[in-house]
Amino acid sequence: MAKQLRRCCLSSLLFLAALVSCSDDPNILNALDTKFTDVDIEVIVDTLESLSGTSFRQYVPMNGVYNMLGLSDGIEARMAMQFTSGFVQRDTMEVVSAVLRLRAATRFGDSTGTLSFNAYKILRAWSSVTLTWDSLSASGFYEDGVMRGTYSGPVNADTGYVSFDLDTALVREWLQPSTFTSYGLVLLPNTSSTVAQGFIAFGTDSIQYVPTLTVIARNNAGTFTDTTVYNIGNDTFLGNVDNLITDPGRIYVQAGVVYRSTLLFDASPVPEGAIVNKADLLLQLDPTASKVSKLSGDTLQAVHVRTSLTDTTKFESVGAVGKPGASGLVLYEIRHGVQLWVNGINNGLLIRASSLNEFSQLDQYVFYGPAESNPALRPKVLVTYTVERRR
Amino acid sequence: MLVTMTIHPLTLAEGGSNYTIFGIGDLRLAGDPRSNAMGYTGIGISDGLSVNVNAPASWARITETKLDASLLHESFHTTDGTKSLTLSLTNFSGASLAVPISQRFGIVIVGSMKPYSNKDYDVFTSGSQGGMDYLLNHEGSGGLGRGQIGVSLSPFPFIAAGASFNYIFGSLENSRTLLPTTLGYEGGKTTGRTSTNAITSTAGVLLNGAGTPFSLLEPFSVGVVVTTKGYLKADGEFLFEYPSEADTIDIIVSDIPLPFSYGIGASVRIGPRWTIAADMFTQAWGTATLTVPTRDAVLYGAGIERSPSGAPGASLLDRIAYRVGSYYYQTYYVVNGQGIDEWAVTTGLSVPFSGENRLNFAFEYGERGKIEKSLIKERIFRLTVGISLSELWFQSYEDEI
Repeated sequence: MAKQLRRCCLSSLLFLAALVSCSDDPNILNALDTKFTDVDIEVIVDTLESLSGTSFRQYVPMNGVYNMLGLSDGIEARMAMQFTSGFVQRDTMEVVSAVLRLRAATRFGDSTGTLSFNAYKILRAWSSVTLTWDSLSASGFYEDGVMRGTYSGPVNADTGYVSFDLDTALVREWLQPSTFTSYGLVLLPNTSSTVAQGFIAFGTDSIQYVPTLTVIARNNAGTFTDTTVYNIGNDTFLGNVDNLITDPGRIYVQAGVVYRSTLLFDASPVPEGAIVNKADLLLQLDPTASKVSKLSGDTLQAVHVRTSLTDTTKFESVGAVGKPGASGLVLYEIRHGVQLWVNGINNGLLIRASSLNEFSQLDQYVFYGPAESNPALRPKVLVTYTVERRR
Repeated sequence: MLVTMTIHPLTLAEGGSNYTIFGIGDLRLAGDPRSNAMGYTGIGISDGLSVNVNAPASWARITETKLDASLLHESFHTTDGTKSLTLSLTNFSGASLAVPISQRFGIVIVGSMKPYSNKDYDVFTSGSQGGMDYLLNHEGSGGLGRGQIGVSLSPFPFIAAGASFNYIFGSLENSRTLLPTTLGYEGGKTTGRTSTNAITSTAGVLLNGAGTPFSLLEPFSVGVVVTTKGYLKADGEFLFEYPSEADTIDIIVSDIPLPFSYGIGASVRIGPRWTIAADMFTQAWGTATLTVPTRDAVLYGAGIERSPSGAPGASLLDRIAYRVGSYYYQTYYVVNGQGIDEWAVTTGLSVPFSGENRLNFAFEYGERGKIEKSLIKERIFRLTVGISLSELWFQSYEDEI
């Protein structure tokens, strides 16, 4: 009986399985012209207005691909560097000469200006990935009273070199690591400088253009002279600008210093549960207030979704990028952020120069902000969203 | 086994009727495979050969412990007059256990699990709004099940009564997937899930002419069954799925009313082996407040059965029960102002494979809807396969008293 029962059940299941396989796969090609779905959608195009915008300074380390150095339009850029390897213990010799060479790559400011700076000995340990302007400019970071080198000359072409002599006594210390601790040197623009030059930093793809230190040394007897070129080290730059925020109707993005801005929008017109199909942030650049180097390879700004309303350092690492068009209007695709706002998580946006620009340039982008008197120029979000409607 | 069994444990579904987009979906009205084969009748049948879970009073005539289980395969060939689509699904169709306690008093305890409704649709629509072209895929699944425990009683041969408590439960899921076809736009999916449960009770009376002093009434039986109104307590949530975000919102869902229902059935035995039955069943969906228009569901069914021969030495063909029937069903769906009706012809077999153990088959062919006023027409094929195991349990001790 059990065998008979199993056979009957198995046959029935196989028969049913065969019937199931007769199904079509529903898709748009065989979709029926049904007008009776219980729910339909409504696609709405709307504009979200900005509620507030704030620009602020964020002390961050640079460590970019270029090191800016100089003074231009009130923006000061200082450079710190340290040769870290290749020095061998040489107690019985003297340094005849030491020449530091930097290769120019970009410029901020007047192309006919003067680059003028002095070199000082750094007295504290530092790292290119942690050093910020406030620690660089703190008292005791460098040896203020003793200049270890200086340079002044017309700004270079973006492929030229800047070379200047370093104090041989300082370099002599570097050759005696068992006696002296070397922290490198800082290059500070002096008041004669009217332009900032960008130099290729250590760690770039090619070592051909990285900073070099050429040292000529000889033994104490004067019978043997040796020339050595050092090109391995750490470096960074740090910028500063005072009184950047002068117009409450603007928001500021400053590379190299760094200034960033936050924006908060009113997402309440979009109901919870809506699908955000498309959302674009529109920012209008104020071209007269902005200062952008013609040599900047990357003039993009990045817009990030903030993950904290109070901590400006917390934002999503992946952001939307955009660059001003001919009219100065910039569009950033921020659908993801607006969807979060609709879901009830609205910490606003963070606007900054793109990483390539922010850590290697001194460009300054000034946008019309939420407090701008002309509503047409204020930041806005054009959003297309979908809501369900019962028929 | 019955307690742990869920309502849709075996779902080979690829899709069902697009009309199930409305309300709680298709109602499962048949009581057992025999009922399926006989035009959804059975309220007035009193021979105790099957366990019709819709008619508690009819259980009083069951003399052996019965364990029934079945599967339902449905195939919908749907057309809007231009395009057509065939979708099929196979679901668990119910299981029941009937245990006679006292044959003399018709005391039979029945427990069962059975689908109450089924929702399974997959519809694409398209449109263009706000500069965005899109496809919209409507999908639905789930359904309600009914757990039932009841008892029958027959103090006199001419009358039987039965009652049961019904626990209606399940979840309904409706989702929409927005698929923009214009570059630069993103879509998303919203899914509404509603979990529900309710308690109703069913009572029935079956009058049997065979127990009366009037011989003229002997072949006739008349049954009535009534089920109380219930409210499906609903918990709902909306799940939103976007390209890189997700969100869930608990929503307040109105309780879903399960309207009062009643049915009347009659049967007549012609000779020792023929039974003719007719039923009318109605449920007052017209008074229910749903998010879509509804009307009363009314089913009229009729069927004939040729019972198997009990003669020793009868051939296999003669030991098979043959059934045929038809029904007209006014569904509770009202779409675009049009009530959706369904009709079907039914047939079936009950094949013995060991003693009184049987395999039951029911075939249905029907049609629903029409190609007017933006409606769709469905040709429906249903196949129910059930197994019925019978065995003597307690009543042997009762008979010895």
